[in-house]
Amino acid sequence: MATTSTVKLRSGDNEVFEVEKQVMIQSGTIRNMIEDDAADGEIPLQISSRNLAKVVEWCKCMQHRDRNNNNDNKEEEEEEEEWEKKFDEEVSEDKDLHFGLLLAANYLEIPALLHRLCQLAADIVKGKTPEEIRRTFNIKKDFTPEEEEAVMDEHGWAFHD
Amino acid sequence: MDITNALPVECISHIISLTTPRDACRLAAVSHIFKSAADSDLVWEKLLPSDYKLIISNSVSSSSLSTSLPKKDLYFHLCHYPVFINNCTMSFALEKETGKKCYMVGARGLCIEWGSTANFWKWTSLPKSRFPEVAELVYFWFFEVNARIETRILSNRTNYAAYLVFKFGKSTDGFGSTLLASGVYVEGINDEERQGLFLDPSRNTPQLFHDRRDGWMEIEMGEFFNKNGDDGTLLCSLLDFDRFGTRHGLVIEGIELRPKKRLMP
Repeated sequence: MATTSTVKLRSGDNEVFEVEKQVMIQSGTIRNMIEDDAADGEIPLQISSRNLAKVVEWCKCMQHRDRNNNNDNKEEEEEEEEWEKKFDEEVSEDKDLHFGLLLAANYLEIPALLHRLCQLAADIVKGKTPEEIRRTFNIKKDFTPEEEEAVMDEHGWAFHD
Repeated sequence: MDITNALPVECISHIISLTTPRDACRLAAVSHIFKSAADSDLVWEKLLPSDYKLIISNSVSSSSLSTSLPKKDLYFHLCHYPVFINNCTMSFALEKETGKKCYMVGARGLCIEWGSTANFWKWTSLPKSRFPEVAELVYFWFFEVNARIETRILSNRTNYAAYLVFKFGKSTDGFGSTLLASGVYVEGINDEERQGLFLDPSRNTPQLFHDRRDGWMEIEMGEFFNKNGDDGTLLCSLLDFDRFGTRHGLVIEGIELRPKKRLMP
């Protein structure tokens, strides 16, 4: 059985983050490793230190919030809301961070973070035309003209406001 | 970085499932990966109403509807082909743009004053009707039609309008000059607000009156904002304003409740 209360995460660029296990069990991937006693050494992750730091920060904030859920501390509640708002803004304005975190949340299996990031991405794509979305996310159009016409014909109503 | 090379397709589906049906159809036109993500069951399961399985299982339609079709096909099936519930007295469909729930209470599900008196109302079946029977006003001098619908079956946070779906028979008389009163309100709470209207289109404000292009006309009876479905029973009622004069020749298909965009003040 593991004895320490922390877990060490090594980022892709070799930075080590020591975090409480209680915080990181929000990640299904890391929880499994802890349960399998495979988390005693450093856990190498293909996630940049910048993104990993953000993930850890998010997990800490959520754990803190869950722990204080029964508290009626207005001040702390407001602080957390403020932190989440800032997180949302920062992520929405920085595409590399946004998608880096999406990949990390997906890989680390953190459903709540993944959902939050998907919601932010959904808010960005809503109401945009296919061309605007391709431009926003730097996506290559890989349809032939015939294929594109067929897709647009299938639901023509959706392309007219 | 082209995100579609890095993100798993389920992740893209997750994002699309948090948009709207219109967005999902548009997103399918972004690229091949977006198309397969946007067409997936994962997306349309979320865009269908959360209780769609229950509604279909209570309908007279084939119960295999919800299991045999891909969810996207099921979504559009429900937009175009209403299913019948409550012993065929009510139909259920989706509004294509939003996936919100639409209902029509058929004539047999309405509360029609004296509706069971053959001298006044005749029950017939019409090929143009979605329901087995419609109600035809034979001859009467007092007119009252009510639809009752539980607000919990409506979509939440949605502004609905109720419409009388009707047409005139070959020989019609008495409706041009009859001012009717319509009201849409929660039963027992606010029964004051009524608006006056004529069923004769030439006497109405054009905004209220529409040709449905399915053989029926409709007239708006009023609006109701469904916040979270716990208001109780919604009553959509239409009755004589003055209760004078005789009339005949009105054929009633039902009363429809469907979302209506609220005009910004």
